[in-house]
This record gives sequence, structure tokens and C-alpha cells, in this order.
Amino acid sequence: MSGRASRIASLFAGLCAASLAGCAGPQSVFSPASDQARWLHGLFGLMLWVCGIAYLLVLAFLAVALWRARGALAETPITEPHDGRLQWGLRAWAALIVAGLLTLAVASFLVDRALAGAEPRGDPSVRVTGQQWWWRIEVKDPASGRWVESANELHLPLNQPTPVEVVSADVIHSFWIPNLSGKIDMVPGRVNRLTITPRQLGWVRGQCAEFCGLQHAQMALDVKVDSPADYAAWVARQAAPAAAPKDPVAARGLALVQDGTCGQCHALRGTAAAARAAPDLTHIAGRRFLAAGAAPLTRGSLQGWIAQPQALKPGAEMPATGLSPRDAEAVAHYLEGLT
Amino acid sequence: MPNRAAGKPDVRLAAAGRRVAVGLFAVLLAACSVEKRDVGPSPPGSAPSGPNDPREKHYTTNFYEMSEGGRLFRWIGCDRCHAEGAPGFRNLADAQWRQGGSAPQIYASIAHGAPGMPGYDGLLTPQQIWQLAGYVHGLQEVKPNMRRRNADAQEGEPSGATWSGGLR
Repeated sequence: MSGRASRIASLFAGLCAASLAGCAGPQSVFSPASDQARWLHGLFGLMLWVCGIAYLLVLAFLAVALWRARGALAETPITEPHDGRLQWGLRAWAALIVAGLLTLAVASFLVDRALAGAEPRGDPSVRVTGQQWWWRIEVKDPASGRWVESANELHLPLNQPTPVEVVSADVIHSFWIPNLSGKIDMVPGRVNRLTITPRQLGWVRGQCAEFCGLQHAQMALDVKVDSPADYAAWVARQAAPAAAPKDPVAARGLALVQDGTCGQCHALRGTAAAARAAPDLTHIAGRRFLAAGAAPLTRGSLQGWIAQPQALKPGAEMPATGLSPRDAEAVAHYLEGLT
Repeated sequence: MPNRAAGKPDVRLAAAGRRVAVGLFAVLLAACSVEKRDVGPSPPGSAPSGPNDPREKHYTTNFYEMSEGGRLFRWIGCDRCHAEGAPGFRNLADAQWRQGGSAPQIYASIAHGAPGMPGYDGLLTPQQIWQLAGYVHGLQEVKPNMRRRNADAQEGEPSGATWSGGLR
């Protein structure tokens, strides 16, 4: 019997370990990588401990009471005799509850204060706009003071408080990078701000956290925390115009992009394509993902996306352009060179 | 037993009420078709086959297609010339048509241009031009205050090469 019980116990422990292993990763509140996420994670841990201990104590006392009163129901007196130890026990219990709730209130107040203290005082240097179903990224180029546009991939400098401004162009979205910050809604007609102070280098993943339409699930934001030097290099790279085509096929691709359907919605700085409705393609090949995380950015997925976007992301605003396979290949070849 | 029950006036009334309710529900369900949209792989579409193209009804009555036309209208930058209350022939909501007001005729005007306006054939896909034609065709039936509300809701979206920076 005890062998079976220990087998069940080890299975339970194994399952707990497996579910905990799912907690870490690039999109998880359990591996905080910024000051703000760490404060929130600490508050969550404290709440879990306080509430967990209170819950276990209640269950334990209930079990003891049930055990002590077994078979004694018929003899229960109608009036309780005065019990000094019970009086003290109840007072101690009330004090414990007050202490627990005070701990939570004070901790919550301190975290709120810390988050508010980190609120941006100056101008934002990053602006993110939620659109169906992608993220418009604008960063301020410190060299020229101008806003530089990109899409779906956000870089942040390590150890620097970065004020971020979030807005929406159409419906309500929610900006959420679990490892770096709490959620903040992107509400049409309103500017919301938050500050992120990243403390760990590397890639993390953001996700729209407010249902915003058909492709809400495939509205992911790829986020990279860079060293300050890498960040400056990234901003400078984004600020540069699109690379010139290197061969005749790429040149044909460029001609198709700026004189055809693509240029009616997309912009490629340095070319005639200047529309703003769709993601900026100036440095599309420098990103890791295509169509807000719908596919990794490879030559194959580029070509598939151009040929039939509705197969990869049904309902997306990009139409099937009807380019001939040869033309689509030229366009993909050109875009592939835009690092 | 059923005959006696059917003879009672309140039971007859209840049965009639049920029939009316079922009928109303069927009418409601039938209205769903104007919201219907197809998702998934789709060909880019093709130009109207003539004045009686069977797709005309779909693009001029389906709310999704018409609202997509409305979004494109701003995204492509049509609103810069054809703004609300634009003078003369640039006003698309006044039910006065120079080149015909049916959806296939509007399609032709968008695709091949008009005096003073470039053609968009090859710049937009046929499906997009259909959506725009459906939207423009429906403008005259939309009351000005509703058009203004739509314009307000689209204030944060880009228009051609200009973008004001989201709704704020």
C-alpha cells in the first residue's frame, strides 16, 4: 500500500515539476527581465505565500476539528463553556489575518508607488501603435531627433528606463510583454504610457492581450533587449533608407513593389513606395518574423506570403496580389536583400 | 384530447405566438448573410464581366465588403480628393454620376480613371476595386451623420502617405 502511495506521490511531484518548467521562457511573467516585471513578480510571489499559508492553515484547522469531533456530535452541549485557550486562539487568528492583509496592502502600495515613480517624465522615445493585426513601431533617432518607423520588432536598450507611448489606430489592443511589463491597453482616442527598464539581454515575446478581431492570436511582437551600443546601431540601421537592389532580378522586384500593388499600402524609405497603411518594409529582412509572428522570415515564407497571404493569416488585410510566380519571386528576392 | 386543447383560445394564441417567434427568428437568421465574410485562401478576383455581373449584389449589400472598401478608401488616399462634402463631381455621396452609378460602372471608373483621376488597374487588386466600388455605391444611402461617425472612427488610420499617429 505504501509503495503505491509513494508511486502516486512521485507522479504528482513529477507533474508539478513539468508544469513549473512551462513557466519559464520568452513569454512568461515567471522569468521577469525588467525592473517593472520584477516588482510585479515579487508582489505575485508574496500574495501567493500569504494566501497560500492562510489557505493551508484553514484547511489544517478544519481537518483537526473534524478529527477531534468524530463520533462526538450527540454529546455536544447546547451552550459552550468558557474556554480561555479558545479565546486567545481566536484573537491570535484575527491578528494573523490582519497582519497578512496589511502585508499585502503595504506591498501592493509600494509596488504601485515604484511603478508610478518609474513613469516617464520626459518625451517618449518609443511609440507603438496597435493595428489590425500588427504593431507599428516608431523610435526616436537621437542623431536626427526624428521618428523612424518599423514594424513588429521592438528593440530596447539594457539598463535604461525607456518611456513607451502606446496608441491604437483602429480598435482596442493591449500591449503585453510578460517578461518586461504588465499589460497596458491601447485604446483608440487615448495615449497610454509605460516605462520599461530591461535588465537582461536577449529575445522575449510580446502578444496582443485584448481580443481585437480575427487574427488577434497572430499578433505577436518580437522584442530584443540590446546593449546600449547594439541599440544605437539598430536605430541607426532602421533610420537608413532601403538598400539598393544588387542585381537585375532585385531591380525588377523593386520596380514591381513601387509601381504595383505593394506600394499602395507599404512604404520603403528611399523608394517611390511611401504609403502608410501597412507595415514599413524598409528593413523587412532584418526582422526575425513575418506578418507579426505568423511565420519565420525566410525566403520561402516571404514567397508564400506574397502569393497567398490569406492562407497563412486568414482575414489579414493584405490581399492576394495575383502576381505571376516569376514576378512574386523577383519581389521576394528584392525584399530578402532589405536587411 | 388534442382537439379539445386546440379549441381553447389561449392555446391557439400560444401556438400562433410560437409561429410568429419562429418566423421572426428565421428573419433574423436571414439577415446574417449581409455580415458573412469568407476567410482563407482566395484568388485576387476579376473585373466585372458586364453590367449584370452576379457579384454586384454581394459587393453592394455585404457589410464586411463595404466597410473594407471604406477602410481602403482612406488607406489608399481616395479621401484626399473625395473628402466629405467635396465640391462638384468629386462629391461621391450626392447621387450624381458622370460615368454611371452602378457598381460595375464605378469599378470601371476606379480601374480606368476619369478626367482628372488616374486609373488604379494594376495598383489595386480586382477584389479591392470591387470593395471600393461597393462602398462608393453605398455612400449615397448613408446619412451624413453616419458618414461623419465613420470618418471619426477612422481618424487614426493612415491616408495615403500621411499618418497623424493613431487616434489620440
